[in-house]
Amino acid sequence: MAKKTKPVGDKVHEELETVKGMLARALADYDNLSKRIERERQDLSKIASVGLVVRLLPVLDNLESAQVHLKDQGLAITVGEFKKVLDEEGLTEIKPKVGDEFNEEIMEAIEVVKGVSDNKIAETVLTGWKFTDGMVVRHAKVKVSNK
Amino acid sequence: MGKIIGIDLGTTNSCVAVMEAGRPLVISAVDTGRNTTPSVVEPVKNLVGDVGKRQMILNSKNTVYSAKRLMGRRFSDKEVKRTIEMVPYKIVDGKNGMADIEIEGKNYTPQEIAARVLMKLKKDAEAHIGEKVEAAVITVPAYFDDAQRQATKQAGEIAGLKVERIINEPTAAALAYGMDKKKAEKIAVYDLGGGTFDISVLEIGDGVIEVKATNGDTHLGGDDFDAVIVDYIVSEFKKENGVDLKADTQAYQRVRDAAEKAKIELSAANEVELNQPYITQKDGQPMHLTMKLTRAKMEGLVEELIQKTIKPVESCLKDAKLDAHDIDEVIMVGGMTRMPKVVETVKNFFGKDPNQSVNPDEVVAVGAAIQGGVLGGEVKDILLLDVTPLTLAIETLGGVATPMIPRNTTVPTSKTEVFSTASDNQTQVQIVVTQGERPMSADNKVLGTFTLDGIPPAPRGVPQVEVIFDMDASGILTVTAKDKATGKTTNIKITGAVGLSDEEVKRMQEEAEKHKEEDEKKADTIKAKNNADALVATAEKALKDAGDKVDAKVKEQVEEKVKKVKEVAGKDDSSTDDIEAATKDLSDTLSQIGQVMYGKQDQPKGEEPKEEKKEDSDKKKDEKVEEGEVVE
Repeated sequence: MAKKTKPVGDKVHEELETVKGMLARALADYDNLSKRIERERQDLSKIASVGLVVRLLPVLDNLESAQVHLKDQGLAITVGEFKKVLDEEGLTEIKPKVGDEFNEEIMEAIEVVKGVSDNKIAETVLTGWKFTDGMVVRHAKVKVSNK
Repeated sequence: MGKIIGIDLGTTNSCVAVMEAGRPLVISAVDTGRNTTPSVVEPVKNLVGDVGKRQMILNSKNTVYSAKRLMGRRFSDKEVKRTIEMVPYKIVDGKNGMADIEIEGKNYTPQEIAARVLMKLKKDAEAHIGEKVEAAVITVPAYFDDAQRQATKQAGEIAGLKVERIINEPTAAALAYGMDKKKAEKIAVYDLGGGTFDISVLEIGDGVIEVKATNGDTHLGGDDFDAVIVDYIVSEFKKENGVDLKADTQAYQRVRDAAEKAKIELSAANEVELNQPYITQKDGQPMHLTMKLTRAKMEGLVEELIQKTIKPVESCLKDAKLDAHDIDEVIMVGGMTRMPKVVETVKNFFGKDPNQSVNPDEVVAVGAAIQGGVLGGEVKDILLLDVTPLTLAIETLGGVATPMIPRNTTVPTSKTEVFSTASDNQTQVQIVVTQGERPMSADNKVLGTFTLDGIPPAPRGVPQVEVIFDMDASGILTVTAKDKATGKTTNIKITGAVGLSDEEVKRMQEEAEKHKEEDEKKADTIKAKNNADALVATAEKALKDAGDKVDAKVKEQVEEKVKKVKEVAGKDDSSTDDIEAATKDLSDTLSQIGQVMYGKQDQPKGEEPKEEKKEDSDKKKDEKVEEGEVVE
């Protein structure tokens, strides 16, 4: 009798362990999901604006290019207003200066030019943008000098 | 045991996914938020992915990409020779004649480079899951030989991952589509990625997936498509303006970005406008790039590239000893397969629509994650949670199906709602449980009916009947009705609310879609009628309560409006607008009684809370008792 029941008990025990494991896994998944949703909720407003900002930046670039040629006062004010809005959204420009060290975290090298020293910015061809807390929305495109 | 992640270690891009609550989830990179990571590594400063790519041009001798082309290959290998000509970094004859990469005098094996990518993906996965990841399933092309598979496995081990299994990319894609559950099928996997093209024919039987044949072109992919489009834009601009945009790095970069964007947009649109003002200068004057690109034009440009994929497909079928029409399913993998022309070409060749519902950039990683889930014991039948295929509803006044559990709800689930009676002194309610997407009960399937009686007599809308829909994990639905005043309860158990055949579900959904408009109209009319009836009841009660306190003229006016509403709402062909107009008219007049009797702040005494008012009626109760009894 005892011999007969033991395997059944084992099987039940085994199944119980499996189910316990699954429950633990499901609970862990749920717990982690909750945490992630909380985290993502905090980032959500930022993420939502990133998509829009990324699409608007080229328009700002064009306005600025136009200003270089037109030198129009009204346009200058418009560009200023545009940047003010971005500033209010917590965005700042990444505008490497000539001679700055290249930094791949916030810049993208698009051309290497001959220069006096290595890894120095020769020209910023496109301004980058980032959130004040560090998240880069668009990397600055730069030409870098190499000896 | 921790989670086993699934990794698609690609030539150009890599992707990682994991099973979460029984479902595959693609993990986005912490640094970029994107779901794929470029397979680019700068090993000295340890820059991996996008950050490595951004400094690639500056540091081209130290930045490794396409390392997969070298994986497990000998230095003398033809593919290695070809890669040497293609890449700016140095490939050398390493240990045992294998191809190594030399950077700043130090040798790196392709495994070490791949390990850096794997490490980054592992880290991203850990950040996402919130626990340590120690094991992975990694995919490789079906044509990889033993040495290449071994090297891939080593890469995983270097990255600190126990490689539970190396699986073929096409097999992973088939898993992502659940093809392993099919009986006996022959599947073609068409994989057009960033830099390579692979075609594989798989045979599935008894849950075993076997690669019958594979073929491809190791140097054909999305990058070639981009290049063709860029060349076209540059040459058109030159023709028109006499300026070569290739000579201006910044301008060229902008053209490349614009071309890629246009390519993506043309997957959905028939024409895009490329607008890049101030792209360059000529004699001190600014020049603008404005060009229209039609889908037809773009397709013409890339036609040759698409056709290049057909020959390998034919060879592959020949090796598998099959004809195109022998293939039961075609699966699309790789970002380029989003292009409608590619889909069309594949469709024409095989004579059937290819599967493309799973994101083609992620499908391989998803399949790897599923395999990981199976190995980790996470994917088991017992854990698979069912969903309700169709909406479960209760019939309310006017034959309206009021949803309790919407379709696609994961079970087990439970829903409680309180309803009331439709007529005065009603002592029993009949509960009709239906299933289906149509707004009217009669158009849906009735699952069960039962009666709750013994409700103490009370005016309409006063009794509170609590109805509970509870569906357990095995799909058994228990519907309970409880009179809150007496605590009297009855219930019904319904099995088979989940277990519809796929065809049945599909038919019912299609029907609902087909009748959507007329159904909504019908439901609106009924709602309007119910509102009208409720107001009539309120008005009649108000008149009775008011007695002589209200001016006879006002009373007469109300009576007249009541008659009008009854008339309009009673007619079968009255429009919703007519009913609503008459109801509003009555409501406006009625407020005069309220003002006279209780002052402005009080509502007419007979008016029930908003919820009940909505569905209340005694208009139809005489002719259709069953349907009129349960009201929201």
